[in-house]
Amino acid sequence: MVLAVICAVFFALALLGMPLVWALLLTTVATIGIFGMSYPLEAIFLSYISSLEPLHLAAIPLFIFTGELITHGGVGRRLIDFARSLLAFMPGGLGVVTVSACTMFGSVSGSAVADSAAIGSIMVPRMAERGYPRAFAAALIAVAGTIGVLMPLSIPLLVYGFVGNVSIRELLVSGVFPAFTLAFVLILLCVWKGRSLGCDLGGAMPSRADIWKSFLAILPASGMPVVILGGILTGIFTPTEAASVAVFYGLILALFVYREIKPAQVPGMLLQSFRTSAVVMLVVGATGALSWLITVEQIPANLAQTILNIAENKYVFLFLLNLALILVGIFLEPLPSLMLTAPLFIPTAKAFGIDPVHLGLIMVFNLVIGLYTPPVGGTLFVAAKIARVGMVAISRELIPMFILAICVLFLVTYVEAIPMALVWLMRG
Amino acid sequence: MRFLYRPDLPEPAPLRWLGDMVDVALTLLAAMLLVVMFANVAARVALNSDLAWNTEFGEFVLLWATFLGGASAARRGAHMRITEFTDKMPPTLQKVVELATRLGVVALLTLLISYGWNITESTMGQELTVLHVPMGLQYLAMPVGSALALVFVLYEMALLLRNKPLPQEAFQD
Repeated sequence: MVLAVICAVFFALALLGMPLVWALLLTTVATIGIFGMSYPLEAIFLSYISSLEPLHLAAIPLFIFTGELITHGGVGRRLIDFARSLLAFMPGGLGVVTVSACTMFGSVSGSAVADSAAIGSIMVPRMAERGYPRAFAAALIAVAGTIGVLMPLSIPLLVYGFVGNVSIRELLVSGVFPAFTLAFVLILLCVWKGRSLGCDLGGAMPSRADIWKSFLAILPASGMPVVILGGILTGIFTPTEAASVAVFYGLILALFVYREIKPAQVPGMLLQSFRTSAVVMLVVGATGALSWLITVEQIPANLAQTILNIAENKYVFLFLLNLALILVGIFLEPLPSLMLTAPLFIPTAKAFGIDPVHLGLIMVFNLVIGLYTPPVGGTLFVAAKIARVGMVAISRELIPMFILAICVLFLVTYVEAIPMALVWLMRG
Repeated sequence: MRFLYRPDLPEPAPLRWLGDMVDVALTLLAAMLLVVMFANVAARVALNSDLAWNTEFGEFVLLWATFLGGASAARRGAHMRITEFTDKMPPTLQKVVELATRLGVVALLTLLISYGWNITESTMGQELTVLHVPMGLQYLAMPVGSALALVFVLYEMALLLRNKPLPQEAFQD
């Protein structure tokens, strides 16, 4: 009953365009008012502040700023050169290069939209020149960009870790195999497409000199995932410490090594990143306030009980979860939907014996599909803008990729070992 | 990327100064946080010692940066929101809805300011363990940030009433 009112009030406010942070807080206050509950409002607002207080949350602005430095720092172009020298000989080579570059770029940027924009702005024109339909290039970049957020340094995984109080190290590791699986099936699709279109049957075999030259150019940037991931996995750094190292690595890379960012630009980028992160963190805080209310009202526990009664086993639950999140993802962007639904689903998943790390990976994988499902979505918009093609044309090209992504989603959901193997290895 | 925010429709001068002050303060806090966080890693990995004041100082800076960042986002209309439905409404209805949701926001921000002020006052007596700064100064970030956001939301309402375009910067995730 309380949950129904919360959902009704929140969706009414959110769909009428009230910013999510205030819609969440107002929903909390309104629910207390409607039911005449005796909780003091101070408690609500205190939990809003105190959800924002822990210093490890600083990882969010730091990683966003690093991503900004990487995106504007000339890493994308060099990554593409490297991928091209290695892979352009294959049939459908340009598509293969796009997918691989997106995957690698994700391991330094952490944002799907940035990934699509950085790689797409270079690769879409090249693919169009080679004779690929623009709509196919756009659809590919919309989907491939989302591989990036599964790779370590993923901001959605980070946020899930904070909201659900789940180990960030393990979450970051869990994304690696799912990202590679999705990249692999997309590469197969590109090879088939390159052959069947006949426009890209593969370039010359790469020369060793070419590979070496582009490898040297990317070498400074490739140190970043090594230092960051290596540092987190070996336990030298906490994720937050790794984030502060990443910022300085990125600054040196962009300012002194690649020199594509001028020092005068840095304050503006810093301001932009911290504003973006404040927007995210305030929503984290506001879900903290709402979570306080639903927890004292014992809603997640009751919901878990209800779902336990409906769903016979964890596979039924996981299937319902997949469906629900695809629907949510069509309308909402991944970050807000993640923050809103994670607190509700974690207790239920625990009751079914699903590892919270696995759940987080499923949720992120599931929700980023929404980034390219029409009519709205972050990478879809970026791709359409870059390729200058309409939604209908892109949507047609998206269908096979969407089906592939759903297949991988089911694999990742029901074959626990794909995301979890590395995590189990880490736990020993 | 220009540092200072100058929308097509110029803001009144006091609002512009206020907004620029928020942006400058936010940038300084951000830079401080970068340095402090890095110093802490360096101290821990190289010298194997924790900087005791670091966590408290970092949390203080982070909380202020978050609430000032919220105000800075309010100035640009950059908070995460769903505009797909309101965009499709007929203009008059859209205007009414935009005004009504902002009235709700104004009410909420007023609550945040007054309760935030109470929280600040009641924690002024407690000191942070290492820094010896009143805890209330840290919690002051919420009422101050909310008050600044309130100013920008009220300005948006004034723009709406005069049928002027609103600031709208898409959220980038």
